[in-house]
Order: sequence, then structure tokens, then C-alpha cells
Amino acid sequence: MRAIFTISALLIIPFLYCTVKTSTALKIRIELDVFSGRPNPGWVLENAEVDTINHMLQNLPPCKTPVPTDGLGYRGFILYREEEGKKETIHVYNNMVSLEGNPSKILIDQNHVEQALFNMAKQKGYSKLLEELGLK
Amino acid sequence: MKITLNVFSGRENPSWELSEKDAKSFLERFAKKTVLSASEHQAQLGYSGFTAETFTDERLPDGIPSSFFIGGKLAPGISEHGHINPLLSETESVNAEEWLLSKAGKIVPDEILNYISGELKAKLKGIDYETTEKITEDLEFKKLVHASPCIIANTPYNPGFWNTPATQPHNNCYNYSMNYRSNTFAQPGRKTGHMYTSLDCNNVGNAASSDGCKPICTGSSKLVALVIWPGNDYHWYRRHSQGFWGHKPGGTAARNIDNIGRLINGTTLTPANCNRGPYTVFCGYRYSPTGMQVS
Repeated sequence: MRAIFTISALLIIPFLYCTVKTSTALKIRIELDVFSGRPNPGWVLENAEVDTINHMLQNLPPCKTPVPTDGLGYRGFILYREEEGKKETIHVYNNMVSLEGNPSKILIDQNHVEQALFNMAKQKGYSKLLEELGLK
Repeated sequence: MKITLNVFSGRENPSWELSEKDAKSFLERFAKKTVLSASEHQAQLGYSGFTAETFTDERLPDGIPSSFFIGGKLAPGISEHGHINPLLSETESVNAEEWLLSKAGKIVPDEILNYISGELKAKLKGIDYETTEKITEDLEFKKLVHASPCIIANTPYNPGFWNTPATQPHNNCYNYSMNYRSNTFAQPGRKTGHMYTSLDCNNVGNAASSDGCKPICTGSSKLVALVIWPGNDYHWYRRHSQGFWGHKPGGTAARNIDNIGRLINGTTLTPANCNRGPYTVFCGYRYSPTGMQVS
């Protein structure tokens, strides 16, 4: 019995450690990219949400289509990702995930990050704003 | 390019905008010459030359700083021989000063023009112009205020100034339209402590008026336009000297196309000429004075 407990603990503890480490070390702030004059509305992800969104951003395939010209109104989401001082800005729009940098990377949003963030925005109270843009 | 006639001490100096063609012609005078920076120029009472400056997205030739002086005296301790290229000769400087005066239009009243012309003639003749008669500042300023005709001074389209990683995310449509990079995502009225309190034409327009952007054109101004997404947001456009409109949606790139990719080339910004997305309410055209700042 004791051996089983010990083996279980050895298996579970590293997993818990990794999960906790990811949540606390990595911060993600989301902006609903929609305004021109005013600052965009935004929110900071909870630890569990960080894990979910971060997982969805992994292993996305590259996209050869250029990012469409964004204009007035809905332009998707901007993710400000920060981990141990390293900052990264990610745009999620029109089924594409683009990572700012030199060179920038454009990936296909096959894990539906934009939809997940869209649902989150509605939960955060931006349903009316999105509906005004014809987005439901 | 903004030209300021340095002549008053307690009141605002008269200033005007050179057209693109005139600015080019003006700058050609300084090929292989050195112009004075602020630290090399001596401020003094009465006429002390012209300041030429650009703190916007106007392009300048290599070696020309964004602010420099023509005319006036060298600051103490500054030698006229300490530069790679020579300073303007007395005659070249007076020619440039007289040319600038000729471009002032009605902004500089005749009394002040006569005074400056006398100073310049005295300078060519070697007379110390500090000893010549000074103007009565308050009286002349009052005349100046009443003599400020509308001069449309739209500038060339220069998106490269805005679309860099250090600038683009921190400046919005208000920065772009008022042509002032504050890196603060500027808001109408914030600089002057009268920020808008609701998102409608009157409220946002009045806040911008507080910063200096007026519904009536006086003096050197650029044409801008305000539109509203009722209850949610505002957006500004700026007319360029090429005849089209430019704008910058939030932290995105500055551009001269509308929401469906058309050059915004019409005189007006009606939906037929310019797809404005959710910014459905057109508030009207306004005039942003040259040199206006926002925060």
C-alpha cells in the first residue's frame, strides 16, 4: 500500500509542479482589438485560462496567406504574453495567429483560439459591443 | 515646415507654415551649409531671426536638424568656424530671412514687416541692429491676433513615421490626425484637462477644441474630420497635401485606404467615398492648428 502511494506521489507531484509553474510564471493579458480612439477593452487571464490558451497556441502550422488588412471595427484579439521578463505580442484574427518579431510568424489558428477568446469576451461583458459589430 | 518669427518676448511669436514646394526651396539654400541649432543661437529682445522646425512626419534632408535658426546672433562661446560646412554668409542669411518674410502673407502686420526690413537693411550695412527701435509688443500682438487668416497647411502623407514598432502601438487616430506623436495613445481634451465624458460629436468635439482643434479655421491649420461610433468610440481622419485622406485605426498602421481597401480620395468622407465601419455618425470637418500638441 505504502509503495503504491509513494509511486503515485512521484508521478503526480512533478505534474502538479509543472502545471503550477506554468500558471504562475506565464502571464497573458488580452485586448479585444476594436477601438480606434479609446484604449481597447481588455482583461488578464486567470491561471487556468493561461494554461488553456497557451496550450491552444502550441504546435500551430505555418500559414502562407498574408494577414488581411485590418481596419475600423473588429480586428480580433491582441495577446500580451510575458514569461520571466520575456514579452511577446500575438495577434489572433481571421483564423490566423501572428507573432510579432523580426521576422514575424503567421500560423493557422487550427485550435480555434479566436473562438475561445471570443467566448471569453462575451463572458467578460462585451456581448453588446460585439453584437453591434454584427458578431454573435 | 513651421516658421516662427522671433520678435516678441512676453507674447506668442507669429508663425506660419511653408507649403511643400516652398519648404523644399527653402531647404535648398542650405546645401553644404551649416544651420544653427537652438544651443548655438542667442535669444535677445526684439527681432532675433527665424526658427524653422518640424516635429511631425515631414521629411528633412540629411544634416538638417528638426529645429534650426536663420538670422540672429551666435550664442556666446560659439565660433562661426567650428563647423564642417560654413555658416551662411551675412548676405545669404539676409536673403533667406527676407524670403521667409515674403512667405508670411498677412500673418505679420505691416508695422512688424517694416521693422524687420529695417533691421535686415541695417544688418547688411553693418549697423548693430540691437540699437534700433523696438516694437511695442502688446499693441502689435493685438493687431496680429486680428490678422490671422485661414491658411490650409495640409502636409504630405508619410506613414513610415508612424508605422514602426516603437511608435505604432502607442499612438492612435487622434495622434495621427493632429500630427503629434505623444506615445500616450492621446485622448481629446486630456492635455488641457477637459477630456470628453461621453462619446458623441459635441462632447468629443469640444474636448478637441480645448486642445486647440477648432471648427473654424484661423491661421495655419490642417484639415481633419471627426466621426463617431455612437456610445462606443471616436475616430479622426487627416487630409494630406496630395488630396487624399489618411488615418490610423487605434494601434494599427497609418494608411490612406478605407475599410474595404479603397484610396480615400474623395473630397468628402461620406460612406460612398469612405467605408467607415461602425463609425456611422459624421461630426464634420475641423481645423487643427500647425504645431498643436496632444497627450
